[in-house]
Amino acid sequence: MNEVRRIPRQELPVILSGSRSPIWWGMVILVIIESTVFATLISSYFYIRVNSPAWPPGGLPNPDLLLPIINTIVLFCSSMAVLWGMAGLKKNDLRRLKIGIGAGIALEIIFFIIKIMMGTGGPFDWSTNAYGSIFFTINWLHTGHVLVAILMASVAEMLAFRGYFDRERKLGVQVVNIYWQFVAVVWIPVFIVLFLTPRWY
Amino acid sequence: MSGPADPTMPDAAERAELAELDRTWGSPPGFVGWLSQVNHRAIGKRYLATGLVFFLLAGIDALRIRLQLAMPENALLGPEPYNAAFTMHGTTMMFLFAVPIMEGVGIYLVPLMIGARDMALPRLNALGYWVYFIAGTSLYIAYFFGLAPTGGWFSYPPLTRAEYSPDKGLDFWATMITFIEIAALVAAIELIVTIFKQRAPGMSLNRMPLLVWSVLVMAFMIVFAMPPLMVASGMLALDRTFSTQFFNPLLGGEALLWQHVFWFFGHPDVYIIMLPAFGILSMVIASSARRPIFGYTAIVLSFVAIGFLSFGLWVHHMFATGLPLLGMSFFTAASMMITIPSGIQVFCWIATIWNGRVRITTSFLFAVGAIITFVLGGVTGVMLASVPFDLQVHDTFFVVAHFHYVLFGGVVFPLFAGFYHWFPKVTGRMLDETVGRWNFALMFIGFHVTFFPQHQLGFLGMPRRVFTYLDGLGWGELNLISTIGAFVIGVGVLLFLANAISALLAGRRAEGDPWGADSLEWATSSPPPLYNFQRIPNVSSQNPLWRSDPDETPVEVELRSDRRETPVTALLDARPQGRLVLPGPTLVPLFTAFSIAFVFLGLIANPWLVPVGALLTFGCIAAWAWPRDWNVDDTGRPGEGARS
Amino acid sequence: MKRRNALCLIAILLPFTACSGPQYALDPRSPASSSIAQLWWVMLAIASAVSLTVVILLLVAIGRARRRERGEDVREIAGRPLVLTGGVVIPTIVLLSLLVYNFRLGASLQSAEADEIGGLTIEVVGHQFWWEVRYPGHGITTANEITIPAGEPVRFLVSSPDVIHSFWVPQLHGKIDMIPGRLHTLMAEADQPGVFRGQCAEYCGMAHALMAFWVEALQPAEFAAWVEARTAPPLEPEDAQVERGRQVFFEAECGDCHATRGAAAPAGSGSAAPDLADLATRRTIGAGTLPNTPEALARWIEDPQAVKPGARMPPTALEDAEMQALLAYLGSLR
Repeated sequence: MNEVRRIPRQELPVILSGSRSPIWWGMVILVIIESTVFATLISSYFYIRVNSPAWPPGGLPNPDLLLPIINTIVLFCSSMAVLWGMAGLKKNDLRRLKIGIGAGIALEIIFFIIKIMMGTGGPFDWSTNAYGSIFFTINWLHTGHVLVAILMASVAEMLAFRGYFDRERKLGVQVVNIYWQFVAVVWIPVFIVLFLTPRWY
Repeated sequence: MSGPADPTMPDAAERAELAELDRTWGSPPGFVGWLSQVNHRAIGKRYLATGLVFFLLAGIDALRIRLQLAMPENALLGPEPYNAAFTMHGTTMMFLFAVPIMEGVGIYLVPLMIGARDMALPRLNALGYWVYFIAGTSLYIAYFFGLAPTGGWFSYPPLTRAEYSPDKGLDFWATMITFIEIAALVAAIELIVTIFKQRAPGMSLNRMPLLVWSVLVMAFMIVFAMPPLMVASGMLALDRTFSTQFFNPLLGGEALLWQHVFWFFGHPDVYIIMLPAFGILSMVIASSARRPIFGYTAIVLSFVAIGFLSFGLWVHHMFATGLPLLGMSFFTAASMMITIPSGIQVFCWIATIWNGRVRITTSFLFAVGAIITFVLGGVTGVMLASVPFDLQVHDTFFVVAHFHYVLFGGVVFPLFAGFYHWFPKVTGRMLDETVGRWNFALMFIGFHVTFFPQHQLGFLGMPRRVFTYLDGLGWGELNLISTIGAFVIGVGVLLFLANAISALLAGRRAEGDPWGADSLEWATSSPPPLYNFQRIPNVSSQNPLWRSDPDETPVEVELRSDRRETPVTALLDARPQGRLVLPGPTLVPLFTAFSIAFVFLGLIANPWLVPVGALLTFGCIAAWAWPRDWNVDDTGRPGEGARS
Repeated sequence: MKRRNALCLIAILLPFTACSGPQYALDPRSPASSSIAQLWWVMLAIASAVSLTVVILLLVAIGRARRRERGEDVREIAGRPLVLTGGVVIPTIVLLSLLVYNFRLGASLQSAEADEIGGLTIEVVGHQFWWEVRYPGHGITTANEITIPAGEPVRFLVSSPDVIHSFWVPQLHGKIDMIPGRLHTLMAEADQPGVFRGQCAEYCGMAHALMAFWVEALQPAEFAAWVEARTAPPLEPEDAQVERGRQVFFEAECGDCHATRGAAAPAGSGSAAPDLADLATRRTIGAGTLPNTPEALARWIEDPQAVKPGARMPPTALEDAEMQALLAYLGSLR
């Protein structure tokens, strides 16, 4: 039997970030769960679609493209802004972090306002037919996620203004960033499925 | 091996440390303090107790169902109460008993088995429990006030759309089922993260106890199976309350969309509740046979294989829906092939017993009963994978018999094996073995008397979910036998309750390791102290209490006892990486659960309550996420720590 | 111990003593049901062998382990070959052969359906909680009873306008769901003339349990006669009581939902209720719930909910004389 090797507390940090931190893993799994939700909804969209004689059914026009394309660009920029701010944290540049997150929040608010301008997305609503229901649900579920991302980032921004984060203590920003990027990335399939595929075939 | 968890002769420093640990891990006294507890064992016990209560409630409904069917044209229950009874029986057993109680088993046992002091996100744990509690009790309160769902546990639309089921009961069902899945998902996150990052030093993945493996696979299955259920039940709730048209065939909706999405969840769900049961069986059999389990790797691979395969079976619930035969053939093959990993496990258990020195305990009897019952349910499962055969027996009592065999063999009997095995650990008291044997005999015999005849009832053409049947169909005698058997099971369950209560009141005190078992939960006292382990144990084999590797240097991590700390280790090899500081008791999870419940109940009552609930929820989460301790980066150098 | 085993054996065998009934799938009366029943007997044999082997191995294992526990020197079994043979090799062989058997049977049932282009087509529509039966080739509409020629395949086109039902006559074939928005086909053939019971096999609401029907297979010549009788022009009421009953039928608003011989249900009522054209020839009323006797019919008309809770038919209060007249009228519908 060997001697017991004691690991003193100094060698066991309590500030953990990235994949060392259980909370980081928690957020990763949450994103997997959310992705499954979107995957199920998109599968449902196509299930309804293959069983429908026309798409969009009932003589509805194809969804309008202009605002969704603007929104795609807005969301892409917001995602870049947050990544830029995060990169600043590596250099202990808290000011850059504040600007990055702030810009990201502002852009997502624009995204949200454009979404409200789009309304239901056409001359129909969720109760018109199954197409309207699935379109509305996917579109506004994503918008709901944008809202949550804005709220989460606001908490992070407040903490940033109070000087909470630094090179080591960055788990909070990392976690918000994972969610933020998820919301931006999941918009791509949502955009393609809801707005582009009805035009393609 | 680490030092003893409850030293017999503690010196003064040791006593001071233990007292401090008790203070740190304790919760405020009183009812509010009780509500604010976040320790995993407190939450786990609540899950187990609540699950058991729902098991009894669903059992009462089962007895009412059996009484009504005991003879032809019985007038005991009318169609409405009967339809409500089978809906609530199925819903309760699946959503309020089986899934939550397996999560409870995981939440209670996993940290003990991996040598952690608590789980990764204790407040999330508490939130999950409160969500489960609120969802379950609201369903039952609605039921007692006559707002019962009558759509069956799988609630096929269009029957469950508002045109055909205008009652509020189904609104409760659809929203509460959506809501309760939050609990399942939260528990899954908890369990995965804890198993990944908080195993005792040295417990690499290939040294994890089999129960922990099964819980890990279960948690991953929940991650992929529960979201589709939430989507399905959410769509149904929207159809009912916001007049969406997902399932309205007149406006482009699809009745079969529900069945696909629901069973995409529903079939994995069966294995979600069976995998931890297989884990329990593996632990109980190894400790009864007093030798390490045979084929550890084979069993782990079986768990994983079952986890994957179970997502490719769902269409075998839909063979009568007129799908193309070629497509169904794939699902036939997959459904038959999933028996191979299950078979491998059964033979590993047989090999373990064969080469062991078995001590026949109640727990072991339940395990053997479980294997026999599960095999009988498994062979009928293979039959049901056959499309032509399924067309005859689908939705008849043959299927009822089949899945009760699988669920008693794969869930209930293993759970009772687990109850008898871990009751001493949880309560510090031993259950009576003589009563236990009667308990087993009554449940086992009662079960087979109840459900074996139901196979034949299926062939005789008795569909499931009929509140009555006419004389002259030849179903009377078998139904009467079945009803008698059901009451025998009932007596068996009552015997268990009596045994548990008398053990709690006056049972023999349990030692730390009454069975001479091998896993870490037995390395601490019974019941364990609030902090589980004073010193985090070190692991150098698959059976840390039986063997340790002399070539490995044991590691001991130094933790503070003035705040809640548990080690963080590497995912694969469990090298110590750091310490995780955990939050103490708080009421925030309870408030959060109520706020989310507000959103869901708003869907039923008044849509304008939804945004109010959402705002409340956000407030709670902000309070939750706000850092509590600005000096959390204390590395333990003296004089620096600020206590919160 | 011995006694307990004997008791167990009795409990296991008892169910097989009850082996008959008009819905008994293992008393097949058609090629499809026969091949499915045969599949069952083969699978039962395999399943019994498998379960018995596992249970015996388990009990032997416990016996060995008990003896070792008592200090006897018991040889260990080589676990790896045991698990490989029992858990992998044998199941794979058994399952693969079962799979092949299944695919062949499934394909033969399927091709039987595809081949029969000609022959009789019958449309069956499942309603909450009764069966509408139409013979599009003959212009016959009836309810809750299906007459078919024996010895030839019949194509059933099944659908539903409301919720999901399932069409199932165990002695003729497996079930097929009736799903709103879809049309499903089932080919069935009765070997011999006979009467078979069917029942809704998908939970469809409150009165699901009381949604049955009968299928009668006739010799082809008798079937032709049946068709002729059904399509002959309606007879004028021959006596005053029947004529009075006909008036009651419409005064009491029965005709708002029910079509009868010579009187279609009003436009817009859809198929709200069973067509009563040949009511007097039917075995049962209320979709298999009551025998078709005047007393039962009177009970049914007065308060359908008391007989079949959940049925869509409203209660009808009639004077005794009116009821007698109505019964006479209904008794003339053949």
